[in-house]
Amino acid sequence: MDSTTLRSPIKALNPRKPITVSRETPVQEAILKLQEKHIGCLCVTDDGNLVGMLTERDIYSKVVAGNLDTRETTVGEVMTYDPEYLFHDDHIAFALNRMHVGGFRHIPLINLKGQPTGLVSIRDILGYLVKDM
Amino acid sequence: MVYVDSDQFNDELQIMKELMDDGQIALSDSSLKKSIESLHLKKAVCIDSGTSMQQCVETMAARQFGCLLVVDNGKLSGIFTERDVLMKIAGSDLNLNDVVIDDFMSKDPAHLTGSDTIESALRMMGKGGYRHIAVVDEAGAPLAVLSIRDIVSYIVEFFPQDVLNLPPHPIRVGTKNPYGG
Repeated sequence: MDSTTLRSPIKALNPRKPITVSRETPVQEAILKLQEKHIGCLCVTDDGNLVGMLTERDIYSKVVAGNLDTRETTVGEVMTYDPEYLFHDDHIAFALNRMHVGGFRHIPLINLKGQPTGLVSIRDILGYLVKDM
Repeated sequence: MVYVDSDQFNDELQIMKELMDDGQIALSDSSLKKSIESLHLKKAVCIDSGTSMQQCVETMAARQFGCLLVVDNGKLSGIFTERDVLMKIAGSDLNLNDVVIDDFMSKDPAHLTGSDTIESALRMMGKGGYRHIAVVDEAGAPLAVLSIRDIVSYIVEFFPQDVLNLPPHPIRVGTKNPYGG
């Protein structure tokens, strides 16, 4: 692996499609979605546009540790606001930068309208880099 | 002591830059043969077997660390991660004061010692789908946690120019920020 790998577009990672919920969705419903799909992160949308992310970290640190009632709490109350996002054509280096510097494990990808169209995880990137070695 | 004049030094820098641009300085297989103790591993957050789930979740939230190592008689007996919180506890009607970590942890987890290689850790993470792996000493006592993030940081160190020295936003030809401005 060399630096040219890092200049490949993120779409080379075959990012998976994100699962979305709205801000008003009860946390209970969002948890069931995460459990059912066995994933660690949902994209939160408002009018189709990305406004936040609901991650495993939000669930354990805010919902479970805070003993919140998951049926009364909405996703909008516990989600991570204004997430860092990238585009499918951006270089992998930017995703790695966001993950390393910002400490994120998932980066949502959006289209020009601001709608989430992909999700790239730290595991996707590591898998790609290591396979490439 | 050898003094290098600045022209010579600049030449060296130029040669290094060219090598890097050509991709000749790169992360090679040998970089992954290093031992995991050469990484800056995080000290493990340990919890005694039999601790209430409520206390465990509070500890995770307070330490901002998504992985606990469970210790029984000084030895690693289990691992409990934020994925376990999500999959086994979140959304359930359990009273967390009434249940203990032993009922929810992964028992006898895969682990490594400090002398194992980064390559073997990567293989273990890939195969088992783990994001955290316990690192133990010869006696089986937990020392540290190796996370997928530690490996990413190690890789990033090889490419500071490419990953750390970036403009705040990618330059996107022919596009504009959908949020205006």
